[in-house]
Amino acid sequence: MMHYTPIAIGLSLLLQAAPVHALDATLYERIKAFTLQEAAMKEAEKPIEEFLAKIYPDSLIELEESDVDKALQKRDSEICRTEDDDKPDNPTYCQGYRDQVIDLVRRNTWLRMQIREWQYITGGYEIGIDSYPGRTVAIASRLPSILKIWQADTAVQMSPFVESKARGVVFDDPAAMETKFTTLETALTALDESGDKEDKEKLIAAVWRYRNGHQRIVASADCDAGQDGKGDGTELQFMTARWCDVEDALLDIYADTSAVVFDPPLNTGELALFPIQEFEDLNIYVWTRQDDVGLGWEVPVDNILPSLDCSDSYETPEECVDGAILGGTYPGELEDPEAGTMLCSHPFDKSGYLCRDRVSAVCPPILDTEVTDEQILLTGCKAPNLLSSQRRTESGPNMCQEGGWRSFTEGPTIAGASGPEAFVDTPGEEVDVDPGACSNCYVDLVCGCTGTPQEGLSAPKGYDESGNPTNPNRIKTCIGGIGKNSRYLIIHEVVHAQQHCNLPPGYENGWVESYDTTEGCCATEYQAYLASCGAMAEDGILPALGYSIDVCAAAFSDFSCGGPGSCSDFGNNPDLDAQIIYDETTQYIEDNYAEIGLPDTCEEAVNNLDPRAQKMINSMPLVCSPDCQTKFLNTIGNNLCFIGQCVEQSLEGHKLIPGRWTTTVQGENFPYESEAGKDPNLGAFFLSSPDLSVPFPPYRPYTLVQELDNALCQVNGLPKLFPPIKCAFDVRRRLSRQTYNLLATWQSLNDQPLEQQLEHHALSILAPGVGSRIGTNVYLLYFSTAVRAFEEIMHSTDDLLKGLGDVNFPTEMCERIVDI
Amino acid sequence: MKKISTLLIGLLLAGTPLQTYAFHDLAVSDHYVQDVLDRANQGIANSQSAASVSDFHFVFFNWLSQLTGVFLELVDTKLRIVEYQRDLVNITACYHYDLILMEEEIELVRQEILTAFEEKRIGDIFRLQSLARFLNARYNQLIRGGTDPLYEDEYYHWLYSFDEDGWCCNKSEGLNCVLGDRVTCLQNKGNPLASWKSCEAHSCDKPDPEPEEQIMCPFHSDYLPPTGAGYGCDLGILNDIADGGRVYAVAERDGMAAFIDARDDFLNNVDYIRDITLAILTSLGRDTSDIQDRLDDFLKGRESERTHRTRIGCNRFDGDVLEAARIDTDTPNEFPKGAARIALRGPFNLSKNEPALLHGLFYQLRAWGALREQADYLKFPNEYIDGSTEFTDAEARESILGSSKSFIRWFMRDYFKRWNIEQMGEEATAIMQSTDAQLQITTMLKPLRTVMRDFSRYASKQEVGARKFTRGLGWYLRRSCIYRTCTKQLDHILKINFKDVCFPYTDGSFVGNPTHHEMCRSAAKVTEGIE
Repeated sequence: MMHYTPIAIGLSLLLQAAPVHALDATLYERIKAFTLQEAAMKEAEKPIEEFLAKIYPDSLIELEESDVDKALQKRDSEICRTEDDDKPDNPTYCQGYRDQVIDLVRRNTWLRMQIREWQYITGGYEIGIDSYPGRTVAIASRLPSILKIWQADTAVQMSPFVESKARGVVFDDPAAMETKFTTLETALTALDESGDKEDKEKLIAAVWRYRNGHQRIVASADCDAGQDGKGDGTELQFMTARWCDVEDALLDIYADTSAVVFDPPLNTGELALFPIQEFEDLNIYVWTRQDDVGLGWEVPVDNILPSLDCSDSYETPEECVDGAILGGTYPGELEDPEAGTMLCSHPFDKSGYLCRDRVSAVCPPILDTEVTDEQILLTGCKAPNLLSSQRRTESGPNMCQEGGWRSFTEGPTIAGASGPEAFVDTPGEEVDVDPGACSNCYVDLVCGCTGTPQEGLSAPKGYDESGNPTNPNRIKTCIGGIGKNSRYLIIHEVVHAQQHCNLPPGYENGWVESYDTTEGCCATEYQAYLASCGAMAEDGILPALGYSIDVCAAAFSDFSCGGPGSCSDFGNNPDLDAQIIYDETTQYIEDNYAEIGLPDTCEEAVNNLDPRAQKMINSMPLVCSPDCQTKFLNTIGNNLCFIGQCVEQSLEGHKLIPGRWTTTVQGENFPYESEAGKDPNLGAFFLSSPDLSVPFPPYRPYTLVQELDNALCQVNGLPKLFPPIKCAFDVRRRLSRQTYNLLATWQSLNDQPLEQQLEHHALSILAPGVGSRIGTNVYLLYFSTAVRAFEEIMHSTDDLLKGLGDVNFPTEMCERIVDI
Repeated sequence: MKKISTLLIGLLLAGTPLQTYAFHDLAVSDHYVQDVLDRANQGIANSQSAASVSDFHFVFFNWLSQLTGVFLELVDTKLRIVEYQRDLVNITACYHYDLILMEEEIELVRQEILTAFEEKRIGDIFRLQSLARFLNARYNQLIRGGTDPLYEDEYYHWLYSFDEDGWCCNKSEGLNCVLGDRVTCLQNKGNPLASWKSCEAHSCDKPDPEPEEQIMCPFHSDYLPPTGAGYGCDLGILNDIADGGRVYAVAERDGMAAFIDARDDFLNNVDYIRDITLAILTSLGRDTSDIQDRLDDFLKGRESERTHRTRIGCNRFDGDVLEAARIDTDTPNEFPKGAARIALRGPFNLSKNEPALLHGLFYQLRAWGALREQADYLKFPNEYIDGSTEFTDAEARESILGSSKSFIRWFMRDYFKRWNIEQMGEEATAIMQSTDAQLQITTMLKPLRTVMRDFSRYASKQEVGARKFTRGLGWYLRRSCIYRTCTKQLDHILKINFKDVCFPYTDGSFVGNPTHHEMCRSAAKVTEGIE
């Protein structure tokens, strides 16, 4: 027995098992039928039946497919037919024969059950968030409003990614399309090979195969009729198989949708979404875009199980023996698709963490997530492509300083006018302007005062571009006169204006510090380019060139701070070169400015100011000054901007504690107050709110399975072998290497099974134990952070209650009659 | 693997003369491995002088089998492959080193046998075969007991044919068993025995007084992974090993030195965190005593603050000298506090080495199973406290126990012992999968308990926190409100405030008791409503 068990464990890894299930019914009934029959073990699934008949190890008896269910139902008299010479007629032998079949089915079923359960679990979690517009369960249509509620308007402008645009369109000829969809449904239905028992392996595989569209698959090679619906004989064969009829039907639909002429034309990167078509009986829907057509699961309960049958495959690899695919061979990994294709081409999915890097300035390495070749890191954090820091502020975080989030309220007025006369910026110079009580500066956009017509320049507050003093509140912003890129230059320079608006006038106050080092320059310029590149991305320029916003911002920063390589750090990526990015972008604008709708000249750009730039200028006044209004769209993010700026203004500008300057000055206003007593508030503040971020746990099932294989082989003193069945106990071992006398040989033979029995028992206990421990660790990883946070809150509560108790009440009574 | 080992250890016997592996390094374990090596070297020296024969055929019909057989026996899959392969990534370099020394000694013996064969010294061949088995047995003991301070090598003191001495039993001369020269004993027609304990079985008297033999345990704390407490295979020990100049030992030492440098640099860099953390907590009015210890412990890991500690054999105390023989009243031996048998991560694991840890747990539980108490009716008298009633009863029971009952008792004790071991092994499943998770969570919640206890106190005790405030405020207002309408309400509040039963908020006494408020109402005597 003991030397069978390693084989059996090996087999359970090798052989992929599946449950049986009954008639098509509702989704719930279908899952219930799976579960019931997996547990009851009265019938085996068709692939398992076929598989067992091929691999059944007992060479004396031939196992027929129909015998499998009989064995499960213990119909011994039918299995062991006495009139059949091939069948055993000894009842004891028959029982062993039957039990062996049951055991094999059980192991195979167990594995298939696990895989299906993973699908249920993942499906259960993801059905609410994995969606395509138009489906019954779709978050995609609700997402924009959710995003809108949360985002600050600055976030839209300053974040390094661009929201995808999509347009809903209907078919030109719905009736004709109906026929094409019917053809597709027929092609799919034909893949269902169910007879007495369900066998939808190919149908399921086909849906997953074309889930992300057919165009890239078709483009890779024509569908070979000889390989139609066939695999390469490995466990993963259906992951790469082709179904010509299905492809033809998809191509037929695509032929119509790709020919649609859109009015107005689609922007670069914009998607056109046609209505989806549901095949309710199949639990499948067809999605259609102008660039691709594909399939999807309405509710994803079925998954591709490792193939067991290679009798019909077009290749016969080593693991394909007698038409059965022996498992445990770890087929090579499937290649990842190119960035932005397949899954990441969908309008909703492309914003998910698998499809885009999370670019963040604060990007510490996540502890315990060093990824090896054998591990999968689901997501990580990508620092901006910069050599040094990406933002520098004069004092404090300067929340929402760059970018625009407010509507117009009070603006500058013309100085010296008889009544309040609003200041309207023109391409010329305006010096006599009053910024108003609510603002520390005003922006004066001037065309044609830079060194070259292609450039822009924001002079220090109170000075012009030559260093001569001007109105102390004026930020003179020079824009090159003839560039088609004036719109972006203005957005860029207004960010610089925002950076310096609340600083005192002059070169010495912040302006020089920003530019006296390359690091300072890069940090200052990167923010400005983030805004202008963001606008370029929104206008379709960057998507057309294939550059991301942060790459553009890093590359352009180079040219403001000393040339290529001054700021940007693209690692060893050969596709990214600052000079090329700059040249291509400039050329694209030059070539396509009319289509994009860019102004011809600086003057035109200033006179018809881009709303984004206007919003930024609107956001310059101080929010918490008395008698000043602030108006913004009521989103959570904008409210946070308001609160944050107000707190900052208070801390930096108000005297919160008598006798002490503001936080930023850190001086002492009244020297005699240094004799004042201890700050009564010392020790009364709470700790800041706890950081609840937790690292992703390392996810490494592949390594664990390998460790198990390794342990399995160690029991028999062998190195790790593939497939693990090769590690089976070899009874000839001692016989082939005899000891010095027969007695010792006999003793050794006798002891052989004992050698591994205990180890084997240990292994069978160990495997679930290790799994359980790792599960516990993952749980603890998250739970411990929550416990720490909770402890901190309770600590603060304790402090509060203790403080309450420590209050001393006066011993004198309140006066009943008070003279006022 | 097996084939390779065979090739290395056995079949090369028929090959060309081999290089000599006679290194002269000292073993990490002076009390055990070095002793074994010294004894084996002496055994080799004792096996150089047997008379040569002219022809082998009278003695060895199958000389190749006879010579290789003894080494093929050593190719013990369980010992050399299964145990060692698994240990390869889990045990320390010091442990590896001593095991390698033992293997080299076996190789030396193999070469000596080859020489003896070439020179046709049959007597030496037999002696060297005995020596090879002796070394293999010690190797086995070292693997089993190197990291277990309770494991005893019972046969260590037995004397074999390669030893100079033996326990000579010479019936014809009517002598007691005496320790003496083996050759002389044989020349006097005596029988040199392995142990004095078998003298009576050969009709000789045991020596009187019985010799005191040291209990020999292969354990050495330097075989364990290095820990902050000072035990284990640390840089100091690796330095000693590397002095021998072996390439792998030098590589191990350099690796460890680089690791320690990097770690100490890190700890030195974060040293300031200790003071800052304490300053912040102090300014917030927090109790720092608990975290102070934890911060100290964290920074104590530096090599400069660590003192190497050693525990050897079955000793109960640190030190490198074996204790005298144990007597029953001595405190029992135990695993040294602060030492670890298995490294949490090990050199090949970034995350916790769960398979190795759980494997260790499984065998530890089985070992504890073997130590479980037997049922009273199966106990030996010495399993009770000397002089106790149970001891006396057991002795009385023992005196009337016949040989057949004695055998049955032995059988049943053995049966239950095996049952206990199996049962503990089976319990491992539950411990790994449920108890362990529970314990980890309990440990994690430990710091929360203090704050929750404080919270409970501040929320429900009269002399502190909320109730003290309410009492103070209520009384202050009460005095300020004489003859005003608020008096009655304030009286109510104070009456309730003074009764503990009205503050069940953190003891849970109100759970499932819908009329708990009635208890409060009657205790505080506020039967009428507040108007």
